[in-house]
Amino acid sequence: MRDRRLGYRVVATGIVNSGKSALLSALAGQTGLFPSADVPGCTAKVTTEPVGPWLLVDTPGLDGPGNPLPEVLGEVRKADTVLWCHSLRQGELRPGELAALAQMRLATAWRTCFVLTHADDPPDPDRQAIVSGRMAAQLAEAFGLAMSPAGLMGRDPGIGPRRCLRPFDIVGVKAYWLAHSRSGEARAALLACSGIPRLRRFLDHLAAGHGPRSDARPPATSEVLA
Amino acid sequence: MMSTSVPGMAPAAWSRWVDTLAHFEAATAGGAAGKAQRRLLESRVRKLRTELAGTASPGLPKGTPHGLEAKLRELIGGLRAGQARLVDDVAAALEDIEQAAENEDRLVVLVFGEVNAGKTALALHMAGWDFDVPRRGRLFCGPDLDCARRLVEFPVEATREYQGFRLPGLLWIDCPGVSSCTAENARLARRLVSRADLILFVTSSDAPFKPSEMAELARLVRAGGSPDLAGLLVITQFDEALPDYDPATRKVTWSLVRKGSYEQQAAWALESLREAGLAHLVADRPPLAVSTHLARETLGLEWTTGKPLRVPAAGWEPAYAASGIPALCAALDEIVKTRGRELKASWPQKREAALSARLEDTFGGSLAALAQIGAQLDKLARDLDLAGERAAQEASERAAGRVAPCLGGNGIYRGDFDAKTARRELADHLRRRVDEAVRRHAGRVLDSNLRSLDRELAAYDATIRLEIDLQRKTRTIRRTSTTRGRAVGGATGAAAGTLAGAWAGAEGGAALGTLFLPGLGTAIGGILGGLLGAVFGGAGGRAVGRWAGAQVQETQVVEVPAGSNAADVVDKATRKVGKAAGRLVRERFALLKGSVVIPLQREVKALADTVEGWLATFGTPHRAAGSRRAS
Repeated sequence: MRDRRLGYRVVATGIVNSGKSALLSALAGQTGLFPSADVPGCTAKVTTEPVGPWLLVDTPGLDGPGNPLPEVLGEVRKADTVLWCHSLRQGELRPGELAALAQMRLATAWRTCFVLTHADDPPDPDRQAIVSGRMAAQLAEAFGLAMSPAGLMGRDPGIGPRRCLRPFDIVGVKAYWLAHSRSGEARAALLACSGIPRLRRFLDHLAAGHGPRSDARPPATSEVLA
Repeated sequence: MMSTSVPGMAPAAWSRWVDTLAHFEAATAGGAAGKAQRRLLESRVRKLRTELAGTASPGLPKGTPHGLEAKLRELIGGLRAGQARLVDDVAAALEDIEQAAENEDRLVVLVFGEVNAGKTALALHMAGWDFDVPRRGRLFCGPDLDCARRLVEFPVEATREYQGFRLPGLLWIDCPGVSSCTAENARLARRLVSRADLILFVTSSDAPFKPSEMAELARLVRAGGSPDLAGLLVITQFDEALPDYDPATRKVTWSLVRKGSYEQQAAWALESLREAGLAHLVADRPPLAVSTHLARETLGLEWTTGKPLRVPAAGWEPAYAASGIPALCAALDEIVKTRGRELKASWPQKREAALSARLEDTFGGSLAALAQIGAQLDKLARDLDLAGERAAQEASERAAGRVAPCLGGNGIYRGDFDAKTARRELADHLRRRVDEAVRRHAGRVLDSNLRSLDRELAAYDATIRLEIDLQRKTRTIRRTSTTRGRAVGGATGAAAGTLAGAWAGAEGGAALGTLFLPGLGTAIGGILGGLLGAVFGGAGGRAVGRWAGAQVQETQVVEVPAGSNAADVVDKATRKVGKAAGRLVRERFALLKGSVVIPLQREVKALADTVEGWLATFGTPHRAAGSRRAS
């Protein structure tokens, strides 16, 4: 059972080195809140941090050392929103990822948000389009899921409440952190390039409609940057 | 498409490597290295192919115990499946040998790693397609043996065919990604491993060796190659893009730099290889970190497509070194120089070892299982012998015990004996007792599958020839006797002997007594002598009289009553029926053994011989042990 008093539970999951910890740190606006590294196994156990109305949950990478799948599945079941992180540099979904998604049985599909990370390493619109397209095809083929034109998870009546996905969020945390040291036009351009504010706004929207800790105001991007 | 970024120039390390390869080709031209071994391997593989063409499908005789039958059928099914797999493997090995013959003056390098690890980009760069040089590698892709265009680099899985490039002295195979989503690609990857002289284990620095990737890699190396392949560990995509904002163009810009986490990633990659049991393949060579994007950036090419963008900066080569490509070229150069010939020469042994291991994996277990079944059959034969003895004993006792009541019931003691009915009843009884005993005792040994043998066993004749020689009526017979002559002769002889002995003894005793004491001595001597003479004379006379009387024969007339030999007949019939029951049971057990156990033993032995024949193709010591077990 999800305990809503603790906050809107956002669980980041995905295979190792898919940028989960870096994404959550960026969402929280705190460098190194969730430590990350270049080799698998940096996040060895589930880590939880309350940030504004959210309870951010970082999980060990699937397919990493020590078979963390059962633990991760437990967290996914408790999640209000699952951020499935996938590195753009790794191409399409791997068999291991498809197997893990199958284990989740997509019961959480309407609250799963696919985030394509490392979009800025290097930025390549063609690559983003090809990988997104291929991943959408994989999800449609394996699970019958389709992108929701409405842009919200599970809200499209034409497709069905549990069969539609929010379009993939494409994020790059390097540009986001660089924006800290810039101002004005440069900061705006870097923030837009990072994709983080867009994802934050979406999570804020979900948390606001959700009801828990309604007294806690979602942190604005400007506050985080300040 | 040809890049023009470095007109007429290529990195020095790459050029040196290409020169070394050309020398290597010249030195190994004619393929002396490993040619004889390759031919030997080919002949052995062809022999194995011939042997595998035979079927491993023994017929199981009727009456095979259920448990054993299930086990044997499972084993035979496994053997057939293994046979089919091996036929494919053998065909693949022959293809490999053919390919090895074509490439006997080239080092075959296989690039092996996960999907999207940058293998194709590395192949293009190493083929010299990012340099403007006349002797760049000839690309091939599937049936197109000389591609005029670059191989496809794509952000999602793109390599679906056998592709790579050739340089003088080198065949570089760009393997489809391990952990591919398509089974066909995984199969192709496994197939290609067995052709390599050298494997480059490639892992992306974005997600260096994951446990599942390593497990898959280890499985493929075990399945397709030999455990002692030569390898080199390469970390690809070792770069990161750093963003910045350009106020002039009002755009976010990016610069590519080499990652700073080499130590961390190298340690992780080596540890992963070690855990997968593959560390020995890369020996003590440190992992090489390369970035084709960085190399292209230095050469003024577009990172992902290799399209020329600008003229490279002057003195580009030191900056190019940061891509790690020169270090990779130097490492390959050294391997070609120091181990090239050895790697080529050892390929047949490695291929043979791989095929031998495959044979072992496929059939080693079957041979052990066959040995177990052989032992089980030996025990079955022993159990059947013991059960046969017990059944014979039981049938004999029970059949014999019924003879007397049966004959008595049919009037053997009453004089109205019905021999025909008695004989039929006894035969029926005998058949039933034999059947019962065989079914009960054999059924315990041969499961409940005995029923399937009933038809064959029912044809067996279970009757006996019981001759009953019974005295049917009273009759008079004549016979000669010496009984009376002996009696009369004995009595007469005894009387005469007693009298003569008493007289002679008395006379002698009196004469003797007189010598010592006349008067009284005479009387005492006479009395004692008379007594002794009577005793000895009577015995002697009787013996003489019996002998004399026996010389006289007398003819008698005797009356024999009907049925007087019934007891004898019953005894005789009882013995005969008991014996017959025992014999019949033993015969039927021998029939069972001959129709079930012995053919099974023969089939299992033949099967074990066949499998051993397969295993012995490459003659490793295991076979002899297997052979002993099976026999």
